[in-house]
Amino acid sequence: MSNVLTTAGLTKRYGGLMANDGVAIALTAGEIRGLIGPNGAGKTTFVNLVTGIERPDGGQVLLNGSAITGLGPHRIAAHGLVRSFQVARVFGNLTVRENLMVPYFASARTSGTAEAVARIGELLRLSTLEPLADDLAKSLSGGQRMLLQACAGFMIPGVKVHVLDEPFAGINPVVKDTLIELILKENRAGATFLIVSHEMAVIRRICPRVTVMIAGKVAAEGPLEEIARREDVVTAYLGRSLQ
Amino acid sequence: MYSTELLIQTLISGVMIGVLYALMALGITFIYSIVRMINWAMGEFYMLGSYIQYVAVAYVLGRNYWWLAILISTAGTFLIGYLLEPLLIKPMHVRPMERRDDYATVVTIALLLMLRSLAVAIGGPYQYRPETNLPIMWVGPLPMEGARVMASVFALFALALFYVVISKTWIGLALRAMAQNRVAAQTSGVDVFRFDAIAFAIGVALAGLAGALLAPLFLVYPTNGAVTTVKGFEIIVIGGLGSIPGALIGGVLLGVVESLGAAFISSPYQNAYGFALVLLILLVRPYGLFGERGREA
Repeated sequence: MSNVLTTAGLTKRYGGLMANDGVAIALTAGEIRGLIGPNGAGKTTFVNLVTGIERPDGGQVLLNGSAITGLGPHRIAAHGLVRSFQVARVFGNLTVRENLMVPYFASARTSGTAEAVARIGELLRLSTLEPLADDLAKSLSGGQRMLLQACAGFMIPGVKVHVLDEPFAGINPVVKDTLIELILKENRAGATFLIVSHEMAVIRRICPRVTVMIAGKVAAEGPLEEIARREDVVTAYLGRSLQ
Repeated sequence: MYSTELLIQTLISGVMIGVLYALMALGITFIYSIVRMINWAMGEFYMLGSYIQYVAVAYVLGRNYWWLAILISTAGTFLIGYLLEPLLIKPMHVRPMERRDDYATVVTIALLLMLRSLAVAIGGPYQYRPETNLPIMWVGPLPMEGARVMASVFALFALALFYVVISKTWIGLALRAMAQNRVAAQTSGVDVFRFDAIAFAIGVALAGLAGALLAPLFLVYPTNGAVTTVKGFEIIVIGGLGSIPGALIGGVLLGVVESLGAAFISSPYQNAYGFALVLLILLVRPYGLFGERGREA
């Protein structure tokens, strides 16, 4: 099996609302998968369930064939899966450089300092954050925080899957391009991505396949051009009143 | 009766007791920053430290090795804290992770009562005094009890060590990250539950150290931590909750104000000058000298 991340029957209920209703998805190693769907479709819930922020009511998450269902986020990170948040969570009172050190040393714990320094230097350069390396992260713009958050994920040694929740929302086109370049570069180095986004232009550009979620379920899967022609998807996005 | 010499002496003794108060305040603020709860049992860990000091000096090591007993007391309270946190505090923190539950704080009140009762049950309601071999020492022109001088020296050393651990080691980096964003720390791979225990242990060890250091001066008995805990919380109000510089500067400030009041106004009211300072701070800066106005959660 070349599937690196698989979910089966993933279910989460909030009172009477089925936020996730038996979600099954399978990511092939090395792919960049888009996850799209109208607001309230359960995309962020799905990400939370996969990455251990919330515990599913039912179903399974497999990473490289081993079950990570219901583990805490730090355990899941140790298994090789990290996420980013829609509102970038950076450590405001740490410097940009320190922000990149936290995930490295939390996982490596060893004195692989030379390796860490080299990696930090590389990511700072690629992310164009180098001039800000010794500034506190709270002085960064929203887009720069997104970049920093993504780089922090790339710092964890041995991570195979990156789940990014709305990484392109509300950031300027230049930063967006930088972030896309970073993602493509990590992907070429072997990382698998699941990207939740509303930005169809970006999804079209970097995701060969997309998964569509509607009302807590997987509604369709395939290349975006194909999906965009399907009537149920179009209806869910645009609403029936337009017909 | 004003004299420059008296003023200098008062300032010195104020700073000396202030750094010991600062240990308590630092412990409270540090545990609050990481574990997100107020530990009301801080005074009981102070008490534990003082009892360990007494037992170690009186029954095992002898008065010449008081300094070794200090290290043992500190390590002992650290260990007790490290074992108690996963047992009593962690189960009180339920998902979702960013909501730190108030039950944890209530549990520390139960812990306070339990430890005090335990001290009465084991040691009785008596006062003990661990000996030291320290002579009277001269601090500038001022003769002082050796135990008091060494208490301040040890406290300063502990504060310096704390600073190095927090700012220079990766453990410190992980703790600072956790204090700022717990969930992000966790998704970065930081084992937050282990660090909760470490932070709790470091915090109570600071109290245990203060207890061991002050035991020859303020004695050992079941409720001896109460006064120092009150001082600790006064400092938190002065310096601002969650602020490490606030705890240090607030501690020294409180020590100096109390000493000045006792020397130049009237000594029986020593504790009242601290409270006056607290009231003043509450009027002018309710969030403390270094506190931030809007705290998260």
